[in-house]
Amino acid sequence: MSSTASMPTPTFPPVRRTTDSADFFDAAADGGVLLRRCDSCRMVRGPQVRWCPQCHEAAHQIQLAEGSGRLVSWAVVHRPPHPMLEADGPYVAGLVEVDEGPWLPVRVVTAPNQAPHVGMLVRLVASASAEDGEAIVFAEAAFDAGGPTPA
Amino acid sequence: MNAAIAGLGLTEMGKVFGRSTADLAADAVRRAVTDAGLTLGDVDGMLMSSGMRNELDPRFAFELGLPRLRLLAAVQAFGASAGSMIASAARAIADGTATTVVCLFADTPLRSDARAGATWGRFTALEGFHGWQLAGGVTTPNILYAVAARRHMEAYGTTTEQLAEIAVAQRAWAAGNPMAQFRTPLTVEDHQASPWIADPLRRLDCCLVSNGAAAVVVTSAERAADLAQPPVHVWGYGEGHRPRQLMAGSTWGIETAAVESGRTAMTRAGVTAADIDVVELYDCYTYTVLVTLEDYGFCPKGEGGAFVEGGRLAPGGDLACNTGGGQLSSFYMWGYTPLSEAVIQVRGQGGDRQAPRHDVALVSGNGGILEYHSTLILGREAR
Repeated sequence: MSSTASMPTPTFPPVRRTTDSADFFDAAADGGVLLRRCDSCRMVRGPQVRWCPQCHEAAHQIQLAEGSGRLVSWAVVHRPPHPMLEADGPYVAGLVEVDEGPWLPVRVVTAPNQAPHVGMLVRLVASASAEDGEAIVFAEAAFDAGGPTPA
Repeated sequence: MNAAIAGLGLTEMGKVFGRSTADLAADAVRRAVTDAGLTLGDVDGMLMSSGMRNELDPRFAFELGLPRLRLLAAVQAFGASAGSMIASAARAIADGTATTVVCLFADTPLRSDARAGATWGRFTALEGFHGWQLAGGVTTPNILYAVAARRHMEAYGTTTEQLAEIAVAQRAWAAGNPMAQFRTPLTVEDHQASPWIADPLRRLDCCLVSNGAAAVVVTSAERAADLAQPPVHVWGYGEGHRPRQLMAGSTWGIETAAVESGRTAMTRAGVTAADIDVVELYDCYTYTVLVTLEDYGFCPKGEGGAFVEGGRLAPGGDLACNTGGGQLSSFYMWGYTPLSEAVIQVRGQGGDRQAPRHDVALVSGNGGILEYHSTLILGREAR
């Protein structure tokens, strides 16, 4: 799924794939988020978590996330650690709990004047990074039944 | 428990350029040994730590010309290293492995041609899962501690003005510390006017960065009693390490391993939070102080914000906390900032910043993004 028209699309510095992340970035290119499901205990963990936090096994199957989650916490970053992160002005760095349970450390994009809040419903989407780099999974605020939360 | 800190050596701190990490380390070791009334030839153990760049390793001891050693290692438990090293030294002395152990930290993260912020913000190649997180901008201690602090604020109503109280109190203590890099008094308004780094953390919520070195000499309590300085006895130590769990139900940002680390150290020392006269907490950020106070039981979980209000941690307040100014105002030597200040306070050598009661001190170490924790309980009397 690509970003919806009403939301700004963030600028991401170029990212290259590694052997262990190839399937994750392939899925991201199609707008999907790959999670890992432990072969041994079936616990679902984040795509970047090498060993199962519950049973410590590495073997896993990939699982496509349903794609929605809720904001656990966030910071509004005014002093970005990389020059290319300055392009969009202050940005929201967040932890999103996807419906399957894992927390993903992701950029969070909201509508103009929409302040993030705990439990905010988000959709996970992806957008290409600069210089033909890999697609970057991020979160954008989903519209709750009552519409965007006023700032 | 049979160990005591008998010597302390600190170099100049801050924008100290043109001297290598090892040069500064050598100075701190010499000063600590001299302070104890010993010589380098008396040293039979050394534990060292040098920040994130690991510029010190066991070869340093022999470059310095130390004689045969019976304990020698570089230790990396991040911000928890100092407490871990003192505990290892204390055990080595108790079981006869060594008699005189120097524990040491040295680092030179500042470069004369780079801004302080650039020191920790350096990127490597943006690759793989790590690259995804870097590109998303959810990385570096400033940002991740801000995310942790936000979680606490949202859960308990903790405010930026309450975080300000910690920065203001520590700056007031720093005014009495000739070694502190920042000694100009601060107000809550000054804090609130300081720019956001990563909201909810402002510049004045963040520690400074320093070049320098710090060392202590650990020996037996019996031997320390005959040396040059008042002994600072190691009453208790503890560690606790928790993964940064990124999954439903995680308490990350809310509670840290200071809970079990503090409980272990206090149980070993036979004290409770109410018995502590001086609290020296690892303060990479104001928020770290607040959450650590809660986890040690100085106040109930969630009440840290209200607890630090009204200057409680400031000179003249109910709880003498970070009495040298801490890493927010004094200097950034990881766990050796709180450790060195505790030694100074328990000895009664705090000068203008001496806490009125200083029989028992607590020292915390916190590393990573709240994962690694160590605690020491130090006392004026032998145990």
